[in-house]
Amino acid sequence: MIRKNRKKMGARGRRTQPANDSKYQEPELIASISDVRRVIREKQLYDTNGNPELEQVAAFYKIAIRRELLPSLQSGYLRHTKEGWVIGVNVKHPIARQRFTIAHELGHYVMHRNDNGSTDFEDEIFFRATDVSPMEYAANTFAADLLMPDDKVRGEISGGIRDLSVLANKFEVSLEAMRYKVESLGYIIR
Amino acid sequence: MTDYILITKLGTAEIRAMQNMTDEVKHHVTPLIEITRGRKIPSSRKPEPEEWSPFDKFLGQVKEIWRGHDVIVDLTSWEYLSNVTIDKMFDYANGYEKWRTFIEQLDDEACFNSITPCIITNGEDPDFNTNLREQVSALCERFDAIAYRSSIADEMCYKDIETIKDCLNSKQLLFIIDAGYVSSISMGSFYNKISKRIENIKPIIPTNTKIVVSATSFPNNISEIGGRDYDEFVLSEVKLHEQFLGQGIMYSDYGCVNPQRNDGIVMARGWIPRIDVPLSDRVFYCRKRRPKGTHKYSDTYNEVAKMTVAKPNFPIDLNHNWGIQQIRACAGGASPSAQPNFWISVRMSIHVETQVRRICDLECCEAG
Repeated sequence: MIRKNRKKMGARGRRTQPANDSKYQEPELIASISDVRRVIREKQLYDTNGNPELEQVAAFYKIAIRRELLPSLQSGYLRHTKEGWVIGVNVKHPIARQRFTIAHELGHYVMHRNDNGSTDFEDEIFFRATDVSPMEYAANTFAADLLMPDDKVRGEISGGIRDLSVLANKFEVSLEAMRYKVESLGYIIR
Repeated sequence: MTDYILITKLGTAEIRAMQNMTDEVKHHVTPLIEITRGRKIPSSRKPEPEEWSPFDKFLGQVKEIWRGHDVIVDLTSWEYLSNVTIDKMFDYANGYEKWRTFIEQLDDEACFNSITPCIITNGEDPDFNTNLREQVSALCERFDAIAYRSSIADEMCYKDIETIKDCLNSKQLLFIIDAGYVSSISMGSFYNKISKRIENIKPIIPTNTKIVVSATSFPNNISEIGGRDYDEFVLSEVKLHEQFLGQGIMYSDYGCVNPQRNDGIVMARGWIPRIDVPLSDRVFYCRKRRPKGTHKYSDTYNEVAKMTVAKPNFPIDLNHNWGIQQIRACAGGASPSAQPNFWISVRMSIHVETQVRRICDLECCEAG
């Protein structure tokens, strides 16, 4: 059971970005989760559950996704190959975990890639074990925020969902991930 | 107006830093005062519906600090830094009349040499352009200059500028491209977008418009990017400015403070004492955990301060600077404060003076 513990402040309204105006084209900014969220919103990259369709998000950034058999402890990787950026994800893991992995690797791409496009940045140890390096922490936070936006999770709880497993299914994440999110939002789980 | 616009919220750390700025430093800085809520009111004293203190006390302090100076004034667009009073000023009726009334009353107090108000917008306005026009026209009747703060994340500025420029009535426009937090990794991406925006906007703005680029690179959580005991990172706002040199672009930053405020977060397990020292184009820090079983922070801060002043890159030509004085005093055994908030003030104090020097040196080079 989740108990409400927070209150949201007022709004300024959200203006709709103009459709691609060829007169004032600007390059895409890929620097933070806000940029990714904006792309998802503007391009309507949602799945049938209303959650981010990660394959389409990756495709927008020209990142290929490969579902592969990897060692059990490895969730995935982010590599820059001669064909471009690739996210690998362990096909043996449950679907919810694979989603989190893709979001996690997307976080590495957004925040940690080397912008000169070289293969200097390549790391096959992007797996979520007990590794708590700053970059892993940041990528985990990115994934959690992308898949379980604070306002949406709060909205569902305020709307009456008090069962963690129902919430987890709704956002297509693992129970563990949802528990962590709900606690981080200040709710108390009994 | 000076060549350095310092964006500052109404926070304790920022106000403390500004209170300790010398007149010489303030002479070279134009503050952009972003009006934000006060501190959270404890539950037992909470009146409904407001749960944040009014900003009047902090604004009062800012008025004293910057009395007689040129200032720019804006309302925060961060919803979590807002309160009911600020929200009400985003009421778009009659050309944002509530905001205009507030800024006009502030001007009537005559504590500043001049006020440049920022244009505010509300996306919920069904009559957006009409109210925007009315706001700009009214502000231009009263003030000699107005500012438009354009977030790099959205591209609404092109539409807005088309509306704004027809109402300026020859008054000056300050076009501020606000990049917010820019990490060193993402600097390239930001530079490309900012460059393109400048290229696109120059042909459509009045010729007397000043273009400003603002950014900050101090992370919200240093643990995410930095080493355990020591690390340094590049100041993206300075690197961006260097890339725009010679193009007439004004420099602006957030005083080495991350735009996101963490005052709502309770650090239940404490924090790691850390001291940051901004240099001309980078920041270094030293930090150390309290020994196990120790509750007091002051001894650890003394040790961290000693580590800091011992670093070869610790500034030796800023001994009069308040922030540097606090670090040296702490290294000598004094206990200026064990609150992280205090050390944010120290960092901001050193950073602003260092940037003033850098910009003045650049101007001398250009003039020479």
